[in-house]
Formats: sequence, C-alpha cells, structure tokens
Amino acid sequence: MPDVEFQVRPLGESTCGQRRPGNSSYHITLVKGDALVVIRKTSTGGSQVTFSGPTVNWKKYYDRLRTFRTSEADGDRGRFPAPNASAIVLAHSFLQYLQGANYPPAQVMPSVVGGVGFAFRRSGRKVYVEFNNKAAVHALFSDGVSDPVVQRVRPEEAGYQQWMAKAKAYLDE
Amino acid sequence: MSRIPPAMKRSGREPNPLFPRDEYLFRRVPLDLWDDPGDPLEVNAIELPDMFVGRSRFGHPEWLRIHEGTYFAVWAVIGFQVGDVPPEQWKDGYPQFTFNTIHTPEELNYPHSEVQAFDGGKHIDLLDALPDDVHLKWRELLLRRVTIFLRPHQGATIRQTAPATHHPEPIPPGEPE
Repeated sequence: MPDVEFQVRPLGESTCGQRRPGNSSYHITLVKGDALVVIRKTSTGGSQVTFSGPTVNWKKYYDRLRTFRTSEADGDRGRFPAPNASAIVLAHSFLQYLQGANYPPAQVMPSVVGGVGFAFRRSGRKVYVEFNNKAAVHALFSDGVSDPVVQRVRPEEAGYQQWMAKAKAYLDE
Repeated sequence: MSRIPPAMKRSGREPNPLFPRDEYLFRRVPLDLWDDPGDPLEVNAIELPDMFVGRSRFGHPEWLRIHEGTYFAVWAVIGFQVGDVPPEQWKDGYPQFTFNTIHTPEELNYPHSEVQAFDGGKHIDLLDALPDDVHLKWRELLLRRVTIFLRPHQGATIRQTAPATHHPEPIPPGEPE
C-alpha cells in the first residue's frame, strides 16, 4: 500500500499541546496520500471513526492503459513498438487482480521493447513487471545495488498470487 | 521547431571511429515512456542495442531533442558512457556478445552514432537473440549506469557551437518551446 501519513490531535488543542478539559473530538489532517475516513454515530450518541485504508483511483490506471495503443503517431512516440493486443489484455487482467488485492502500482507505462510495465517501489527497492508483446510476463526485483533477479510470472490468477507473495515479501517486509 | 545548430550539421566531415570509454552517449526518451519529471526513470525506457545515440564529443545533450527538423522540446535526455554498456550478463550459458559503438553521421546530425550488438562478429538484434529474462536484467543494469541530463519538460537553451571536449558541460537553462 502507498504510504499514508496522518496527524491526529485533539480539537481545541492549544499551541503548547494542552487539551481542553472534556473535549473528546479529534482533528484529522491527511499529510500524504488518500484515505477513507468513516465517521459513524454510536448507539450511545458518540461517534466512531474508522480508517478504511487508502483509497486508490484505479480508474486512472485503466485510463492510462487504454491510451497506450491510441497515443501519438509513431513519429512522436519514437521508434518503439506500441503494446500489442495480447500485452494490453494481460496487463488489464493483472490490473484487475491488483485492484482486487488493493495493491496499486506506482506507475503503469508502455515499454520501449514493446509491452506494458508496472512498477512497485518501497524505500529503495522496486519490483518491475513487464508484459511483453510475445505474451510473456517477467518480474524484476532490484534494490539498485545487488544483482537484479528476474522471474517469469504465469499470467493467470495463481501466477499473480505467487508473484504478489514474493513482491510483498521483497518490498513490504 | 528549433533551428538546427550549424555545428550539429555534418558539413562534409568524415566519421570519427575513436570513442573514449568515458565519452557519453546521449539518448532522448519519448514522453510516452517518461512524462512525469517527479517519477524516477524506469527500466521500461531502457532499450536494447541497436540504439541510436548522440556522441558527447560532437554534440550536447539538448541536441538530442532535434531530429531532422522536428523538435522534441519536452522529451527527456539521458546518457551513459561508452564503457558502461554491460556485456557481462551472458557469460554463462549464452554466446559472448560484444558491443560496438559506431559513428554514423547524418547530414543534419553529425554526432549521430549507433550501439550495435555482435555475436561472433555477426551483427544481431538482441531483442530476438536474448531470452526475455536476460534482456530485462541487462536493461536494469544499464539503467543503473544512466545519467539524466534533461528531465521531461525541463527547459534548455540549445547551444549553437560544438562541445570543447567529450565531457558534458552544464546545460544552459531555458523555457521549453
């Protein structure tokens, strides 16, 4: 998940950090990222605040994927081949899997060798998944220093599950 | 569109086959591959040989934004040194590919060159010759050696005179056209 930072402080808190007696309300400031904050009335007349985690604008990824085959003419795009239909279809299915797992990429982009790339990054490490125009999928694990590792990914749900377990272990643990 | 600097034109000059190992080879990166200057350059933008490049001995990074009268004003320009092309990835189990950088001047682009791959002296297309996992790793290793000279949308003033040496000098700032 992308980093989300909150600042939570009691409402009415003075600049020296003291809280007004009896004040049970809180001020929530989102410092970085997006999150869904749900406030519910409780049966006792109070409020319950729930953070349901970051909200991700998945539409922007689908929209971006759609542009890959219809973007500028070759002259403007450079000499690289556009992602073909099979790469787009597989990348779309991968995006659906990521959405189901609420595991958004940092970037979705075309590849200069033909295909679609997804980048995931955490504190100096990255996992880059490339769906190429030969309908093959590979994941690259790199920390920028040690020898990078490349593994093949089976473009189906079980393959994506295996990949995600490795990616989470590499990036998030 | 930007005027082609006179020093960028071939003007009857012969190719120069000598490439110091620390000479930079510049490449432009299309916006489709790298558009947001806040994003890091990623391996999706790193190509395999054959690669068209511009030599730092005869041209400036911002000249890569000019191609046959078309001006790619907001494209990024990256570069790597001649000695940085990493051939060591296929020592085990793969043919001993070698790379050669060849100066191939064009009438409107004297610095134009190509990085080509060879297998036993035969010119090959690496994308066809290498397994996908190997070339992805190779591109990542080259990415680590890359220097970013112009980020996407970064303005630059097009210098009109040729570089004094093959060591790149700071790019004069400017507004993208």
